[in-house]
Amino acid sequence: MRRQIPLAIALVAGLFGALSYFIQDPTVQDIREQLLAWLRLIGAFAIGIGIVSFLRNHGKKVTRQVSGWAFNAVAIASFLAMSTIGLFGGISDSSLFRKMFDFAQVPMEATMFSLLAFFIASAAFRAFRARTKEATLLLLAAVVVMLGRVANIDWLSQATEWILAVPNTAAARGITIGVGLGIVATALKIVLGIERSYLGGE
Amino acid sequence: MSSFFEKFLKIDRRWIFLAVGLAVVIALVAPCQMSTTITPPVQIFHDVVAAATPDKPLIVSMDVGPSTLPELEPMIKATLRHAFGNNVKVIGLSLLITGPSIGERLLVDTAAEMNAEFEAAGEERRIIQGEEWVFLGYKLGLTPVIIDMGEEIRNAFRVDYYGTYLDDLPMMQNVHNYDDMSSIVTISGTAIPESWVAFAGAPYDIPVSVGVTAVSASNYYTYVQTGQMAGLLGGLKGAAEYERLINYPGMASKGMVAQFWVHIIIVFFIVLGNTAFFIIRAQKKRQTDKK
Amino acid sequence: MNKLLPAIVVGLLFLALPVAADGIEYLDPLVELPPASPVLVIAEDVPDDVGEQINLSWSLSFDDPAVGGGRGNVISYTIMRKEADTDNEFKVLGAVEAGNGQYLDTTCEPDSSYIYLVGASNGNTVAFSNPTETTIASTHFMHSQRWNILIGTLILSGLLLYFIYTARKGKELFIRRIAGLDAVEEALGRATEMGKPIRYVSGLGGMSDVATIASVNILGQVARKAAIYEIRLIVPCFDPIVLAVEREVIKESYLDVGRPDAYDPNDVFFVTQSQFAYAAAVNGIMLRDRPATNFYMGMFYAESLILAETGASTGAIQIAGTDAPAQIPFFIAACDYCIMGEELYAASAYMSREPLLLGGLKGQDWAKFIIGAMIVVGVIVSFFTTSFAEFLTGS
Repeated sequence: MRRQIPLAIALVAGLFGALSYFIQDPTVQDIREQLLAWLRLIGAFAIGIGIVSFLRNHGKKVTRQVSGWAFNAVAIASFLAMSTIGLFGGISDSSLFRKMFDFAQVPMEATMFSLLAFFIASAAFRAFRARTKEATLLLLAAVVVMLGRVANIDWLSQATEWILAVPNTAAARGITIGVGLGIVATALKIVLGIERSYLGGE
Repeated sequence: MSSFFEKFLKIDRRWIFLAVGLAVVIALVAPCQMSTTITPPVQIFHDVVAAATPDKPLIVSMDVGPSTLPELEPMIKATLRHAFGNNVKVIGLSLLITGPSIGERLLVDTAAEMNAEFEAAGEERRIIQGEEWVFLGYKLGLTPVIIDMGEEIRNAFRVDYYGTYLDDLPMMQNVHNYDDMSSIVTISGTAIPESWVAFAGAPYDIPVSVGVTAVSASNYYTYVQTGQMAGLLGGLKGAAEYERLINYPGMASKGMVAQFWVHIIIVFFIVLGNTAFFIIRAQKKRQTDKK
Repeated sequence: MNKLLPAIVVGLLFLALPVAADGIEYLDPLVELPPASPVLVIAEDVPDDVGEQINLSWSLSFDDPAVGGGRGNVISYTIMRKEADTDNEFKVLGAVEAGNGQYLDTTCEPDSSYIYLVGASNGNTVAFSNPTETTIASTHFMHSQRWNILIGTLILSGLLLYFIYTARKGKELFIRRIAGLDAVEEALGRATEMGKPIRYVSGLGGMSDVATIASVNILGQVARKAAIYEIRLIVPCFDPIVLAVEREVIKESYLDVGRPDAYDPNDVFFVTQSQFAYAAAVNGIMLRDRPATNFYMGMFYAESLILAETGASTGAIQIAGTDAPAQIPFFIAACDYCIMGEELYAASAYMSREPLLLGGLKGQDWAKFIIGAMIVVGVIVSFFTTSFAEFLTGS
């Protein structure tokens, strides 16, 4: 019984969701809107689960004083500070919350993103080795694209464009078609209850 | 010698980071610029924006966040300058929560910068908010917003970023839906351009020109090939090409110097890494042959 | 005296004449005249809506400034509507500026019929067109533009069901090797030997992303093995709903293999819903706990390489899988194994060898074959005609 009810919900909601894409009837569309609103509501409640998990996980580390517990304390303090300020001071453009977002969170996120440039360099150094024929091809393509993107040389630039527009696009299309079919197949298997690992266990 | 190569293959990655960091800093500080070749996707992007007429405004959707701004800001700026330069009006908006403050700043700054240039050149023309550009700000709900704008832009945005009713803005008087606009430019580090193509470009038959980060550019070549995207600016290089086409050497042209040196450094490391790899492999083979 | 009064009146009139004439002289006779009415007003039901819209179009009044030949005194067009069955008279619906030949009525009641009038206005007078024919804002049960998708979906579903059916009857189905999934066993074995934890990241997607569902399926299999080998499994989550689901999946997996006591809910926790803060936190965990194996399965964006490259620097075995084409190259560069695109969705079938799930894969292969064949036919046809669509429709 514990399995049957979720499976039945998946079947009904899944079939309805698929059919409502094709059927334009106002009643059907209304129900669809309602269902989507419910989905958003449930999603909003779920953030509560996240907050509880967050506080419990970091709180435990602080009380047990595991190594590096100061960082956990910072995480809790930041969470409490941001939510209190947002709750009582509002989130308008001139608010303190907005300023903390713009001048603390934004630059920190930008910093993390900019690490990508460094990590690309070290990953490229390690990965682009001509160990096999395929790896050699990958290596050559990478070098041509890297130089073609920056050098002011016509033929190199054209070669780069060719790599991006022909082999790259061909591979991307192949993957996209496969992904599209895979999505339909997985969705169908879930709706029919054949794929049920997402409910836990077998 | 072999010990050098062995060591090189196991180099601490922080040396690579240092080389990359130095290249970026020196290139950005040094007062030099680079020219770049023009590629077809950028040429198409340029031509579509150039084809916009003064009676039909251009939508510039700035779906950006701070993390991708260094790559995307030059694209937005060049697009705005290109449009304003051709007397084309601009409807700015953002479908990403982090976008509105950035979008507004770029519109205000670009208009002020061009107004200063007009003044210096003794021209009377000025780019005025509400007449040459409006900024609608951010609206939650990606797909519904794009679809709503196809019917009536006021369904999606009743007021602009500053709280003025769209009907009270002079340039919005005859603008209701995509039929009244020349084309859409969407600049983003996310998958939002795909939504613009699917829910505005295809159903309403309006060209969608796209600017994205270099990382995601390879994804979008399929759309350019099929014509679903009217041109593509990929990363700093795309922005630099566009700047060259509109004859405005901005941040991207400057940034290309940094990108040039970083790419050269990475290629250098790759070539040296492979040389070391082959030399060590040959040595190992020789040793096993001897045994 | 009798004739004096009329004479005075006439005389006064003459005196007043220049004043009146002065006024008349400056009045533009063109503006005072009513403009020509718009013609060819057509009301059409908007297809594929829920019956709330009718589109009106008309040829501009001859006196519209946009036409150029006439008086140019049209300022706007007024649109009036009456419901054919209930209303007696027309009511004003809205107006559009001169130069516009179109109006979209979005306030219709489904399946009601309407008659419209469009009038050209010069500010004082409005010249109306003939009424339109009665138009019904009809509800279309089926979306007319989506038949092709429906047919495609039905064909694919039919194939899938057929092969699932044959699999149920016990037919042996072949599945090719997927190196990344074979490596899971090896990776877990290594973690056992080293006595270190494994870490599973299921990406930034929500539960409605198929990649996340696939990832949760793989997590179920990994958790069973982790329970058997008694390895600690750390799962930092990005989405609270995914967190709830993953906890349940792991708990069930531990229960299934008879090790419910080994499950620690504190190892499956929510981190943050901010992309790069998440990347920073997960990197921190990697550098502190130094897991022997890192799994990255699901939906990833720009954080993919930041995670994978840090993982590589800790010397962990890394197995990644994503359906985001832009992130695949990064995972290939920084991870030991990479599961690409739909291989991710196939993982659950591959690891469990459940015949019903394998049957689904076979159906997908046939669908791919059909699409491939259509592409080949399309290419051949395009040699002879300008477009494949023309070939299909015969026009």
